[in-house]
Amino acid sequence: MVIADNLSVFVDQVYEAPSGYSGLEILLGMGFYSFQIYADFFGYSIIAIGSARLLGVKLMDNFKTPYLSLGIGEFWQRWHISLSTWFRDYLYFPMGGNRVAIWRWLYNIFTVFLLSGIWHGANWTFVFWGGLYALVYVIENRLDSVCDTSAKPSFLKRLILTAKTFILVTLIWVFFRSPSITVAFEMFGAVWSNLSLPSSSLQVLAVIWLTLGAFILSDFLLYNKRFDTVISALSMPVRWSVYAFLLFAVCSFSGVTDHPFIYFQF
Amino acid sequence: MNKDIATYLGSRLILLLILFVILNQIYVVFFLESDLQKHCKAIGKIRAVDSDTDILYLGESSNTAFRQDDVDTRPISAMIHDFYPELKVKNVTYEASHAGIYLSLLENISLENENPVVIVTMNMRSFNARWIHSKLENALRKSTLLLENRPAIVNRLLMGLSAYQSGTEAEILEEIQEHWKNDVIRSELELNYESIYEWNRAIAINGVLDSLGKWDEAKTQLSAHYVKTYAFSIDTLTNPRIKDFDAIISLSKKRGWKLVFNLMAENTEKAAALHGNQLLSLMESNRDLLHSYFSRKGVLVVDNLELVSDEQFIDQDWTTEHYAQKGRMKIAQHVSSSMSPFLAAYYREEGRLAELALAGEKSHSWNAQDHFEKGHEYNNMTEVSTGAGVEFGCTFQRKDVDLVALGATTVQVKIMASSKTLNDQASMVLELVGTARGYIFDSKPMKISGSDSWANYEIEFNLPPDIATAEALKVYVHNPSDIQVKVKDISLIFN
Repeated sequence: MVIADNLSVFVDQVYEAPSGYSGLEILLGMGFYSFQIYADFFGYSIIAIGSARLLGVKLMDNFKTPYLSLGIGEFWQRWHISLSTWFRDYLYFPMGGNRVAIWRWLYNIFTVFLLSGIWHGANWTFVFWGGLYALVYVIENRLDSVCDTSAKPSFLKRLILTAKTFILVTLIWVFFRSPSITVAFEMFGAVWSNLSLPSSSLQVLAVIWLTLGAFILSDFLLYNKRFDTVISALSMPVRWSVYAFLLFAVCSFSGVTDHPFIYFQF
Repeated sequence: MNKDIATYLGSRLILLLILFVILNQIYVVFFLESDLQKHCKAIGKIRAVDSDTDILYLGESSNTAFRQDDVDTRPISAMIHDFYPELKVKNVTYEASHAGIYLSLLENISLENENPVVIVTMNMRSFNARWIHSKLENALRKSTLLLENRPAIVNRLLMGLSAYQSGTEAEILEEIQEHWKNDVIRSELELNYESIYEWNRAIAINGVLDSLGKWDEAKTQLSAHYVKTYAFSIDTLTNPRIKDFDAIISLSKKRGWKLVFNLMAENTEKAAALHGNQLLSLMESNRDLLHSYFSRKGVLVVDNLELVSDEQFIDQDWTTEHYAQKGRMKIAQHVSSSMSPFLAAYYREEGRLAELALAGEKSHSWNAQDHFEKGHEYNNMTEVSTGAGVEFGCTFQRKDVDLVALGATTVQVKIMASSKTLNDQASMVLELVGTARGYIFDSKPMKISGSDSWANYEIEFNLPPDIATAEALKVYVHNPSDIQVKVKDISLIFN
């Protein structure tokens, strides 16, 4: 409500008429969408997990700091885990997984990603989105098999790999968010053609930057950890201060335009 | 063990309560004002009401709508002021609003004078299912949500949760249709139909025929529209508007206001022409019910239902309460005279003419057809407010001004204006309808300082040489902002 709904205002503006915005603003819109869909879906998943827990049902985690992944393969182990494990267990493994000949493995990978795209809707944008993930996954997998990846990567290397993965995912999201393939390419085209335009159309409130910054920081702090375990280890005043901040943010800064949960449409 | 649990839960509840109070206070101090400016369209209108107001008029578009050929384009509330020139009359005009919205506005208005009069517009259409479940309702509710009588942070949370939403468009339509099907309509006359659904269906099947016996599509649609609008019976137990008006009564009793419900005129002539007595009797039944129900509760209900003739309704192919000048004046006159028993000392029966006489300007009554000479000036002494819901003010209009005979190429408009806040959205407008050349519209910005003192403003307009005789010449201040500007003493000099 706080991050996704507020970011959606800017994302919607950019996607509605990309030609009216500068290259920098379009890139910002693309980046904002990555966080919009993450905050929206992650928040919704946590509500579902918490509600189920109240009824005594324990659900699996659906997100594990996905934007800190080093590669696309890892990203899909951390993003929408309930769906990706379903595809893995009921489609990828029965088709033979990776214990098959290379051409068959390629076929399996493309089938899984294309079907997961189509699962989101009967639109070429989703097919393209799935296909791009399959392509990037295969390329990264082949590069990993050529390079020596046994040693633990240095901090700098991890930073570069994380940034690379985030940029790739953000660019691929453009196809997911666009109503048509044409609009998606228009977005990319406008980035270059509007590079010289002044970046003054989008007014992002300081409070949105603040809450987005807090969200990104929390992702770093919670890398490979869970929020509930981390928070329960804190002293009571600190814990309640965190609760107060979260409560205040939800009450005071939640978006006011009507934006239903993105995944309701799927 | 039980004591431990009670202590544990109790301490946390207290902590939560303290936290809530602190967070609410932080929100009120640092964020509420900016949220009000962004999301609460009504706030400017509410703040424009001075606490020493004597008569407060709450209305919707019926207050301010006017017809293009009106000489006097002022709202009804300003016309009421004509009858009480010594009293301070203010208005809060909020388009498409109804009792529920008025209630929210009134809860946030404080009037300090002794027994101020609050006139609340009562629109019969607002009691029907289509208005109660209108898709405009979401936007209206959203715009007043932050003013609701709850802790500010809770209102803000409810806004984030879209608590003002009454449903999707499809859900709203379904709800309206349910009412049309199931709500039984009752009248003293024996009606041919029991529900709007049945009545509308009959119109759709049989249509309305013209004098040649052919299907008249426009009339058929208008007939159906009138049925959907007025063919209902108000149930005082379930109709939400009744509850809202009841709440307004409770509030006014608490605050010591004298309350007037101004039941607006509907086009009963057209209703009768389209449907005979059947529809008219329903409208009259509802009027009688509202009148008796609220009169019993000590409210002065001014019944204007059949006061305005068909010709004075601006919208002829739709149902609105938008009246031309004479219609608005009739209502203002009726409301004013109805209030006179408890405002006898201030009531001027002759209205504006009496006021002008007091100002020594009897020879220049509002509708006078003056002959202009080069350099001629005309003063209108009356002070009017523009902005905060009243877009137009200080209108000067004359017909058949012979600009050729005057030999004028420019007109210089002088006006006095005063504002508490800097206003750069107001403008001076000149409209001309020429015989040789058609319609001309010119607008010049007026940057009015926020010094809260009267200052002279001069604006010059060019008069096109080919305009010849101006069939109509109109000059007025247009102020669409929420910042109130007072204007007076408009003068025109032709050069």
